[in-house]
Amino acid sequence: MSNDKISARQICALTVLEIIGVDFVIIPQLAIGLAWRDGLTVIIIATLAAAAYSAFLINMAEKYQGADFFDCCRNAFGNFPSRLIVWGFIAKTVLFAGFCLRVFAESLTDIMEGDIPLFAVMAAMALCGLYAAYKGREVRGRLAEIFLLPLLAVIAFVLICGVSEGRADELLPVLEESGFNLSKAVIVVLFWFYPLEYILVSMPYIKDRTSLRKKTVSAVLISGVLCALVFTLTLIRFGAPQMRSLTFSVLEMMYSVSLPASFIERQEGLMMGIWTVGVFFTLSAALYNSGICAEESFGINSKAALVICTVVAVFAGLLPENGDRAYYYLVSTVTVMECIYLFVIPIVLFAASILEGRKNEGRNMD
Amino acid sequence: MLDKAIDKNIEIVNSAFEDWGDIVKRKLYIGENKDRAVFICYIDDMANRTLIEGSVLKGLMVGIRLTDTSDYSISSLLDGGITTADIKYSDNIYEAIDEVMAGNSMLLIDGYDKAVVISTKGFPKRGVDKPENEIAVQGPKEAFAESIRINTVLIRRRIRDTNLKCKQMKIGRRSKTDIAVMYLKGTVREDILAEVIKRLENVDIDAVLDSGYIEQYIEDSKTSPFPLVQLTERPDKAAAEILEGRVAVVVDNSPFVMLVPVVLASFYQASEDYYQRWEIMSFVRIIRYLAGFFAFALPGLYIAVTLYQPSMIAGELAFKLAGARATVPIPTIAEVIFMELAFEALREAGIRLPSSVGSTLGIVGGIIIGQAAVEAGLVSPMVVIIVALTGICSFAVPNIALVSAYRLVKYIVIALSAVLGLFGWFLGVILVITHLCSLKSFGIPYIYPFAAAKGVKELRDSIIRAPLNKMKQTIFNKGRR
Repeated sequence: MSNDKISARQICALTVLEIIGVDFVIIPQLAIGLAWRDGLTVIIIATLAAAAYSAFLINMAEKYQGADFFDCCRNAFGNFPSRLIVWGFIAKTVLFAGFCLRVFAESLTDIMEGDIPLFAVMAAMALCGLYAAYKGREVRGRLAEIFLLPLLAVIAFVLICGVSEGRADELLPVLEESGFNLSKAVIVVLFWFYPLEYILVSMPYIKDRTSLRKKTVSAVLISGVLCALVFTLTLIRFGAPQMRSLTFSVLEMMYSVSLPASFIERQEGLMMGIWTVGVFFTLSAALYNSGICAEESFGINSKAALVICTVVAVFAGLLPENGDRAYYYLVSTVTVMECIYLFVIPIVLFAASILEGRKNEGRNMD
Repeated sequence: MLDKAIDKNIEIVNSAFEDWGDIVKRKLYIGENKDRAVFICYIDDMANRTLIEGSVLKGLMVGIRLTDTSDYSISSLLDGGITTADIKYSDNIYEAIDEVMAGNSMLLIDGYDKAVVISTKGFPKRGVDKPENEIAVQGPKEAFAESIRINTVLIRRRIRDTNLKCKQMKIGRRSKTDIAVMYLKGTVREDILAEVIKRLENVDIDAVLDSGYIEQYIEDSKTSPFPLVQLTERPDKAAAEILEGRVAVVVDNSPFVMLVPVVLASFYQASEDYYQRWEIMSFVRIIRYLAGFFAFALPGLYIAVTLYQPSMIAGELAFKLAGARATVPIPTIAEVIFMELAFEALREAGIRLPSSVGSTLGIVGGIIIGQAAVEAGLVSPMVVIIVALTGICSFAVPNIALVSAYRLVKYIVIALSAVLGLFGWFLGVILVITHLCSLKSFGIPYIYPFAAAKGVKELRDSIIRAPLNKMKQTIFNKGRR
């Protein structure tokens, strides 16, 4: 596993792809489920909040001189608590990867006409993610640079083609939900910007961090805008009740958009490509980050760490009895664990760094 | 070390060249009193006999025949006796013997503990011919030959700059092959140059019979099918790449010059891209990239769509495909693999046969056997079209080494598509791209400038070939860092 340095631009591309990897399917679904038509407002507010929060996270990391997330924890909380944090991180990341794999495999086997076993799809996808994770951070950065524009272009093309087939009045009325509901929905959606914590893990390996804050904020905004657009198109195409009743309304919307002047009758294949690339990035990021943490924490060989994480992820993905349960577990894992890892720990770290600064000032005064 | 007594040195030379039927050795005495012994040695027909007789022997035997050489200094002796400028002195007899084996002549002088090596290379060699593999409609028609000196001259003729440096070394314990490392000082990145020289110095091999031997020793990855060193037979291409900041490695006895570092985009560039208008050549480049993609992805895509996602294709096309396959008794996967392998065999046979027979074989194999197989109902016409299209696409890529890699990778994509359908095809493509992203050539990412570039400006010589005045800096230049 190569831990070569990557540029801020590559981190930005990686973050976009890791966020939209599964989020462009899940965030609109969560938003409609929690806030009906106000889902659009929720996504916009969550995106702005995530952008601001990402700037805060980079600031916090800079206070620790660009040390990685777990070194910051070690500095602030000591050795044992930081180990617990790392183990928790590995567990939640591997579980997330497993449920993500299962959800992906379920949705894929639904649209594929051939009789391909679920396990085969999961194993193949996991091995593909493992290969990219094994190649390391630098390679994943380059991959992200290559895939980002074509992927965004295809999604934009589908959105443009689909916009004429929807009814704009489906967007109204807005702001019907209570403030409490909206806030709850915003927080839940905010958890799905979890790849921001991967930036914290990668901090020491980022070249030229001067533009990192700007680039991270842009990555969050690009991803958020994309999710908002996808939500809008799905809503105007299906209407709120139907959108809410579907498990993967965004995928359904994308399958049903008719592409002009195409010899392709149904574009499941094209959508399958987008979905595969998205999940590939999500998965390789999860496997890579859990792998390097396992390597450092348990002192095992990097290849072994990656293989173990991948095998555990595949088995974790096979545990839920069906796709709906896997989706439920996926959302629950992110909601519960990101509350701790994306918010509580960074905020405590930030507070600790301020206290440490004051202590130092006090000592200097003495 | 050499001894002052000439007989001891001659003994060493005789022992080294024992049983050499093609060696010419002569001991003669020069000067007015014939009191100074000299010994000349060269290999028949590897050295230029006319030059030896006219510029060395004549001078020694006739030019200074009336001179008393007993108290004559060696330098005066050489000045008077040898009328060629290209001489050097060696104080190691074995080094001098190596020079003889390279086609030079060795002159030993009694009382002098140095051997005089006279450059007299004159072995038979092929002259400058037309390129056979990198044919261009517009541009020079010269190709490299097997002689290192012809090749370095062909490059020097194009870059008349004192900064064009040529570092020479010998590689191969037995072949002692001459290698020339050519680069443009001030433009080349010093770190890359140092790495090239370091890797060349570390090559531990008995013999270098072609540049391909060195290529396999100095490339970054030994397990990737993708070429990490570029070979060219065109001096204009080598010169252009040197001007861009790359390093050319010229190997004696090879008509291919190696260019390093290399990126994937280099393999899609042809010399004439820069000799014609940028708009046209940009269009051609786009075609090449598409062709390169289909060269490894098309058969897999066909299998995935026909086997797993037939409803994806428009109704009429799907019916036509199904109709064409209706009478074929073998599965699609076997059909595609069988046709692909037959095509590979035809291609291989076409290369090995003489050109006149090769083209006939192409016609017989491609048209007659293909037609017969379709009429016999063994394969569907669509598979013949797909395989032919894949072959044509591979020929559109202007580098044979890259095409060979695509030929290999194609079977991985076919296998994944056959097992996992369209999903497998996507995985195959992702894996290929991931592999390409993981490669580096002398520290330069293989996928540059599509990734790892510092800005859009560095994409100006990739899929699009920008106007010449807009292309100045690349990752190979010193200015990049």
